[in-house]
Amino acid sequence: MLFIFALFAVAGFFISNSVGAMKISIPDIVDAIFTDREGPIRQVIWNIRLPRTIVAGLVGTNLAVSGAILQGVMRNPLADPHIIGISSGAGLAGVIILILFPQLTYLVPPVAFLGAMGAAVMIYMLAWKGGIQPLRVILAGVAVSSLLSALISGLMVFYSDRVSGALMFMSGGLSARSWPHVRIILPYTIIGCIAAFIMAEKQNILVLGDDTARSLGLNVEADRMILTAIASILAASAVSVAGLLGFVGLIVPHTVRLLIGSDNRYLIPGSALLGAGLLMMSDTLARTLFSPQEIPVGIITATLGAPFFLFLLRRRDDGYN
Amino acid sequence: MDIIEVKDMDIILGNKKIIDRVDLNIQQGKITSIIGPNGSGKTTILRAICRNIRPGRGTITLDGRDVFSYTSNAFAKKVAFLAQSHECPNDLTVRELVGYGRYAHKSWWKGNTEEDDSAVEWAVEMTGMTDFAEKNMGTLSGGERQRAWIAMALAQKPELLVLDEPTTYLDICYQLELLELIRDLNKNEGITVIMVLHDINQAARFSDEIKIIDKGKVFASGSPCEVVNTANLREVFRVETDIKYDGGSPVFYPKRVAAM
Repeated sequence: MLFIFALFAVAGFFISNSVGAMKISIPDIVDAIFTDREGPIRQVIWNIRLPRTIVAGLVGTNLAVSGAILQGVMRNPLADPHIIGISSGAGLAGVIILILFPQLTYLVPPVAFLGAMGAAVMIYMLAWKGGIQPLRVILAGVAVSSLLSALISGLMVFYSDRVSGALMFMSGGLSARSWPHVRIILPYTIIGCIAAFIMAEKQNILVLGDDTARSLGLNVEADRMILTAIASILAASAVSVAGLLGFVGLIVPHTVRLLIGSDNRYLIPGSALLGAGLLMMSDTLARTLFSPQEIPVGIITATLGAPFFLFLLRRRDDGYN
Repeated sequence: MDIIEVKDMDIILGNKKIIDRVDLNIQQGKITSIIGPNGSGKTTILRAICRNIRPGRGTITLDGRDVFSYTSNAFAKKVAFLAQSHECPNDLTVRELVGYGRYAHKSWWKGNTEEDDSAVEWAVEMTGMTDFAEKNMGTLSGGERQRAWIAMALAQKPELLVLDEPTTYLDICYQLELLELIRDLNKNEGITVIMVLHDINQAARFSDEIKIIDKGKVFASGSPCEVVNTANLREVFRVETDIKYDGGSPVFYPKRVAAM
């Protein structure tokens, strides 16, 4: 099954590089990537499609792995980067820049990253009471998210003449993403995914409940904090580049769980691959479906992914109850 | 020899004092049962011994050392705790669950050693779960599932096994089977056992030592014959009883609610 996810991701990679205003065959793509023969194909691949495809894949990976970690650590199937405040933190920071300081738009990724981490840290501190109780994190997250969302809405109402850029950011899009964005997100993806994979067995044990995990020799508080931090950083780097992409972080891990089970040693790499594949495919549709008009990729992931997930949910009922 | 010594312990949860200046010793190699009415603080004491709650005052020592001074791994190699209710993914197999019992013994870069495999095998065999080892937890009955959890605790190879109402939700036949398993583990493997039991007759039958907890204090402590008597049952559990003796252990019949 992991192999199928890998195939899906590879297929997503090539389709995303191939389809567009200029059709490029797969041998040409390989050729353009691995040889340095000059030409229009190479220009399109290296300057436009390849970096954007990579950003899409990394964003998908980060969100999916982040969601997989959070659902396990918080022992809550509804946990995702939105719940723990990452998205609304990034959203508020991004919207402030886009609306109040449009001349500083190039600062959106780092500022959104700080906003996301700030919100996550704030929620963690609010939920802290001699230790962390997952349910308290989630409730604090929901409350902080509502507050930040209200601020975002307020800004958008007051400056309704300037919201179009902010709207694109709020629903998540990848248009004009290129190498600088790859450089922003790539280190976090690599470190975050490796750390999440190494800690897979700890996550398996945390799912058994705090008392049991502690009895088995886990340092529950510390491990939960480290894992939450990894999930926050993964999600924060993703939303700072792509805007508030909902859904991927929630549904991809559940889909993987339904297909290959809840063992985190497979769930983490499975989520990474499926998340990458899904976002690369969706982004291809987002930029070609109504070409030359682009639609936010978040709309595609939700309209395609939700029905598929519901189909899975109704067909297989193991793993949940 | 005492494996656990609790000295002058207070536990406050919220703003309620749950445990009030408790002193309590657990003898090595024995089965000790903790009984008491609902809300008396039995489970709280167990959770404190297993480091799940920090006492507001007093100390708890394991082999003479403060339990909170152990590293997580070192403590897990000595003490296994089974909480009253468990959750786990339905698609987890019994062998995988039991394998988690080896967590503290493993280093992540080495993976499973021969010792880990044989400990898991032993735990599965001891609990009679060999035929179920590859089955998913979600497909097992309550009794089988409970034995799988015990197997996980055994795979830790603990010196001390701490069980919070291990027989709850089980049919009477499974209850006895489980208690007999615990007694065998104690006799044959030398594992010290502390458990909270709801059924006083079962506690009397299967324990070397009984502690009665009432209103956050140790009300009585001693052998089943010393502790399970009409006066104590009337005082703590508010029932009038007849006590008979069956093979040396007391058995009581509740007659009516005691007048207060």
